[in-house]
Amino acid sequence: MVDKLKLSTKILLMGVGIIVSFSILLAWIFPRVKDRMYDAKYLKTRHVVETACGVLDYYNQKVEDNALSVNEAQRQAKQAIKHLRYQEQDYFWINDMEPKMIMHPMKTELDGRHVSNLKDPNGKRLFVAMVDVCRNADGGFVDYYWPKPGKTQPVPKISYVKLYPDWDWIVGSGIYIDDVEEEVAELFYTIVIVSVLIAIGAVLLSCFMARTISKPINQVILDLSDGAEQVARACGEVSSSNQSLAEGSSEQAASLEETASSLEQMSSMTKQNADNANQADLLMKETNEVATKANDSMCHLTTSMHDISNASEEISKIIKTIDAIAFQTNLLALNAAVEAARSGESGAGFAVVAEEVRKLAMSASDAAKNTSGLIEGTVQKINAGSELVIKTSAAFKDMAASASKVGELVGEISAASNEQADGIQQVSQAVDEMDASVQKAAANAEESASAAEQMNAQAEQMKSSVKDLVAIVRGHDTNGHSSQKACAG
Amino acid sequence: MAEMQQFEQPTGAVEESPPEEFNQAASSRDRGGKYLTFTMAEEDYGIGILKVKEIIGMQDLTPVPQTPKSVKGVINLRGKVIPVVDLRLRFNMGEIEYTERTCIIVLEISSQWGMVHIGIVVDSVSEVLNVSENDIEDTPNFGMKFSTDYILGIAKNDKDVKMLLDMDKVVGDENWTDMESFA
Repeated sequence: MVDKLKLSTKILLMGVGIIVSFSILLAWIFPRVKDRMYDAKYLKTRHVVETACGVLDYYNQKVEDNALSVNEAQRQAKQAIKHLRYQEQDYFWINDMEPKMIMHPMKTELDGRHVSNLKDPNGKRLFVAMVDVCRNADGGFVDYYWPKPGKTQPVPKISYVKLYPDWDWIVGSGIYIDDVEEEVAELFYTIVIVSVLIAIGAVLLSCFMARTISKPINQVILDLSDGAEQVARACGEVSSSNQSLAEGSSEQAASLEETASSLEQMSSMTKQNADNANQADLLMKETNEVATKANDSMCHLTTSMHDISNASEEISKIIKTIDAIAFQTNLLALNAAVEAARSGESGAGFAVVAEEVRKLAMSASDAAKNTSGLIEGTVQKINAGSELVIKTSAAFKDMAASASKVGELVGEISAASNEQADGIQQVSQAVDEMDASVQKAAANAEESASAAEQMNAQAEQMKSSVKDLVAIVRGHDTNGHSSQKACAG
Repeated sequence: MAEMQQFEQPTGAVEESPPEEFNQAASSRDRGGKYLTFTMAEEDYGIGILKVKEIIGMQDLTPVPQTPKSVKGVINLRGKVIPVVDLRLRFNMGEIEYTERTCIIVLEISSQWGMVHIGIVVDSVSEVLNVSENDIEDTPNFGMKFSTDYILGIAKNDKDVKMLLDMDKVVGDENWTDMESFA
């Protein structure tokens, strides 16, 4: 139950507890002190009475020394003791064993009277009691009521009476209990006042201490609370940023996946391209071979045609020779005709012969012409064929050139495809690296998230510790919840 | 002085000559007979056969300096030196490259120094034609102040016309420079 109180209250309680225990101690000690005081008083009284008896002893000694007579000694003794005072007004009286008052300094009317029937207000026959006490022992205490010197009202009193056996006197002196009580009361009040002052001081000090302890603690609580709040907020922020980072990472990972798949596609397409380029290259090479073969064939063809041309030329030459022969023959025939004409009559038949020869020459010439024409036709056809061959050759050359170019282009395509493949490889690697780093980032985000979690847990712990602290300082209410009210300590 | 020749009737592919008729009142001579036809610049010409001594193929000519352009030079014909005239240049037809058909007709004509042999370069020689007087027309008058004496006439047949040349006048010494001045 004490645990549920406020700290200041606890401190206060501590102070109060100390005070209370102190008070209890005092309360416990006080009676003993009182008793001790009483006892001291009693003892003092006893000693005083014994001292008075010493006086009697002195006078008795005088008697024994025969310096004085017994009566004189007793009378001196009485006088001496009568005037004995201690503590200003405390006196001695003497009575004998009857009891008869022998001497009473205050109530001198009692001197010489029988006091056995003297009763105090309570009816106690006090002197009888005294006698009884002295009879049983040498001395003892008797309590009764007797008025104070100069007063008439009886008040409680305790006297010590001692028997002086030599004279059978009882010497007694007493303390007034109310005096003692007064003293005790004085002491008591002193103690009480001091105690109260101390108590007040202690309470104030406790309050002060409580406050000086509570306030900083409260402040610390506030600070811790703030700190915990901030930490919690920071945790929240870290968490949210982690969340977004994780989202971003996952998005990035997804897009990296897409990129990787497109790269795959690109890679496969590039491969296809390279393959196609290679195929095209092979085809081009084949085409080149075909073109080369065709070229060779055409070279052969050209050679053959050249041979034919040469043969035709030879034939032409021969034909020319034949033609020349025909021409010469014609000329001869004409000459013959001329001679025949100039010969006149006799040359008529010769003219006919000449004519015939001319005709033969003409037909030979015609034949030669025909043949020449045929040869020319052949030559033309050969030329045409040659031109065709040239054209075809040129076309084949063009084709070969184009094939070469295509081959070059294909080569370039191939090289470019290879480079592209390399580039894709590099990009792929880069994507892998990016993926790895994204993974790392995600892992880091995970770690960061867990660290944030821990931090959050710590913040929560801190909050709960703060709550406990608050509970300690501000106290729980009966339901066990910490008090929310502000306390000045 | 052209010698007149009775025209014959040879067998063979010689043309049938029509019956003798005088169809030209102004013609006082018979220009029919055998003519050696030759070609020059795509045109056929004829020379009387009697003027022809010989026909030879083209030979290397030895040019002679200080002669008119149409005189190409001289040739050595079996020991005889014969001057050769390019008829194209004579007629200002422009000179062409000599082909294998180019011939030199060695003419025997009469000039102021008597019978001389002169060769003419022609593009080609065709044949010996028997031309009757009926087929020969007179040279038309071009109405200009030049003489067409060197054309005996124009022989015509179905296809074309051949100009019959009077070689005496063509290569005669009087008209050389005159003829050459005409383009």
